[in-house]
Amino acid sequence: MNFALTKPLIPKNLDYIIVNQDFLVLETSDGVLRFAELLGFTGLQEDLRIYLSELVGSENTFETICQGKQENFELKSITKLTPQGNLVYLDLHILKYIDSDTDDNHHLIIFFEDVTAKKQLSQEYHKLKQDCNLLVEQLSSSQAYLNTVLASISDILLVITPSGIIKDINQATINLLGYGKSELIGQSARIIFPEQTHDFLSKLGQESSHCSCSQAINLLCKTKAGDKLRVSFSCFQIQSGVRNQFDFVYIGRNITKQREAELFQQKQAQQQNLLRIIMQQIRQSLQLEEILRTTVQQVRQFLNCERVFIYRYLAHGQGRVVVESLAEGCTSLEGQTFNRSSCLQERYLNSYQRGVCWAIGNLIQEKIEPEHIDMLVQFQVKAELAIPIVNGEEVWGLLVAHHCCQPRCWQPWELDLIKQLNEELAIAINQAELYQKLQDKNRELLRLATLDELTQLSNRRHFNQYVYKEWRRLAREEKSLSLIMCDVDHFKLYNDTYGHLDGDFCLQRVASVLQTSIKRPADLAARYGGEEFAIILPNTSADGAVELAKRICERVHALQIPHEKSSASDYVTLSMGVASRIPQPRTEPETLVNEADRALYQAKEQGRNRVIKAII
Amino acid sequence: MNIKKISQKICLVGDFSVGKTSLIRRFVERQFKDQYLSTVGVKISRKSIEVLRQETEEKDLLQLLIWDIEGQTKFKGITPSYLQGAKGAVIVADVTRAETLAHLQDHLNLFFSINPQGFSIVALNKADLLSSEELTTLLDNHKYSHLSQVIPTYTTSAKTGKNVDQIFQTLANKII
Repeated sequence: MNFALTKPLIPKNLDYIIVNQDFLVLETSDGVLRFAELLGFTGLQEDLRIYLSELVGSENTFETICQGKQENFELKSITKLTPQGNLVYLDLHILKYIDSDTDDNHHLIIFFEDVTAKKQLSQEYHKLKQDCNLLVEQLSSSQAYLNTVLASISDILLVITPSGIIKDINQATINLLGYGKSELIGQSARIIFPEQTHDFLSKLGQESSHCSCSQAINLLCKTKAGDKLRVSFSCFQIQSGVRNQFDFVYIGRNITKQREAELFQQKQAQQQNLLRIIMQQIRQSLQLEEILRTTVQQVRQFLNCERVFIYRYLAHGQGRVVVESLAEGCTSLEGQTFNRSSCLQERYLNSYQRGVCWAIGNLIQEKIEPEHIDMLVQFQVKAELAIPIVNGEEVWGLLVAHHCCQPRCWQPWELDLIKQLNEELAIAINQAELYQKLQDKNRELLRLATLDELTQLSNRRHFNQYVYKEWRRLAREEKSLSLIMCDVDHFKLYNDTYGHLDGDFCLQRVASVLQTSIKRPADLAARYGGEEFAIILPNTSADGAVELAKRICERVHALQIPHEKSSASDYVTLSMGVASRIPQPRTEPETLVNEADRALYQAKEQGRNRVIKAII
Repeated sequence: MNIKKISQKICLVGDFSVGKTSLIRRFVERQFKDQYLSTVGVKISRKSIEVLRQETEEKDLLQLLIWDIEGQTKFKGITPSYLQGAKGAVIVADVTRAETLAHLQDHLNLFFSINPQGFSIVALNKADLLSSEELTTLLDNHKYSHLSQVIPTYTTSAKTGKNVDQIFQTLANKII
């Protein structure tokens, strides 16, 4: 290079070396000696690549520069270490050089620019930048990780500001509630929680944050479609972007199905319980009314409605409300008889026989016969359910439920339960009716056991029981018990004269007089044995008893039953002994019986056909 | 047996802070420093190794001119002039940073666009930070077996020295 040019043109930190095509050093600037030590370079005519290995491998590139196919080649920021351990940064600019003296154009000029100062300055900045890059990368990675975690959770996540504005949501919120992100972010949380106030949500967040173990709270969330989801939320407080200001994070699990399952289980348990109670009742009681009353009470409680009653079918398409359970303030139907009104009509009997139910959810919307609507309106009924009670082939009656406060959609499981219940009820009804019949039979048997077959008066056994009972009773009441003992005069002769058949007939007629002569319910006439009769007269004085005895004597005489062999009269007559006492405790009625018997004996002794009062 | 000395240029390419300088330092100086100093520009290290020419069974002494090139950042790519004339490249990624792994293919593309005849080897560095199961999965995901000039991938650790000599030796055997 022209020496004259080197001084003014070459800046202080820029030096050069000129090499030939074999990289032998031909010329250097003065300042290049600064780098000599650095490069290990000693002088001219040496292969520069030995000292500057950055040139190795780029020979082809340099060839193209020499050929003029490429203008230049740059290597920036080549780092070299000084023997003192300091870093030196060099930029290399390689250009074609034409030697003006020799016209040799296969030379290259390599400019060395010492950029150490500049690079050192930028080193710190560069380091900072790299650190920042690393941080940003870590943050983005954490953010991406966090976003992935949040996106993968199936629970609702809401970030809500203290003023109740939704700040952030996750994908599950979008999926579950159906809102788009833009429809929720920046909006009031009341979109989701229409039933809650801002204060409530904020307070909930604060309370949850102060509590070490966050209590879950169940809230109803409104979906975009208007459905309501029951969600169990836990809430905690997080620092918002602004210092000392907090947001609330709500994480909620959709427990709608779980809740439904719980309710279903509860209902099932309720059903089982109801069935169990009714079954127990059926087992414990054979009293039909008691069974029916328990049933309507339990069913009303179960259905939570105002009126449940049992309608018993009667003859000619009529029916009566036999038992009823009623909410306070409702009109009672119990005891009322209804004619053919829609749901109770006989023409539905066939359907009822097959177990078909009558369920009206809303009176206004359903097609019902006007007279039935009138009846339901009269009793403030909004929804009605009627389920048949089928006993064998017969529709025994209906179990009817009335919902009066509002229309009601009767649930299939409710109907199923009542049907199931009615089956049990039908069995119970059957049993109770059988029991009733058995009781009637028992009563008849009892009557037969205490009755004298011929005279239809009480027999001796019943007389003994009754006199004993009345003796005890009147002993306590300190009132008199009178007894009439009587005998048909010369009855053996009567039998001998007229035969046993007439004898029996005679006894029947006498018995009839005795039975019709006693007036008070507690009085009892009995056949004491053979032709002997007795009348127990509780709470009757001796005079009263004598009076009655005389009247009976007269009435029997008045029958004018011929008795030609009698020494007392031409007709059948009676001899009577009357005794009366106020029974004393710890005494037996036999005394009274004996006294009456003795009086009767006296009557017979004195000529028969008379009444003798025992002298006590 | 003749020993011939040859010099060849290889480059270490990758995102910033993946451990390129550490790999070189481990290979050349048998050292490791946890302190991170980012490389500015380019720094050449030399190391001579013996390579066996399979065809002649002759051992050559190969002087590797190892170019430690400033790593790629979001704002600054690799300077292509640094790669010019390189016979091989070690493409480095940090196993703990997914982004650096994602850029491996870009670096390979750049290297082969400048040196179509070159060879490269992929080093999944900082392997000491992951479990062997995770490393196996990573290796499966970064095989590059479809590229004939790419040597099967290694997981490396400049800290423990794992596979460091192997990657340089394997690459050297290829480029000789």
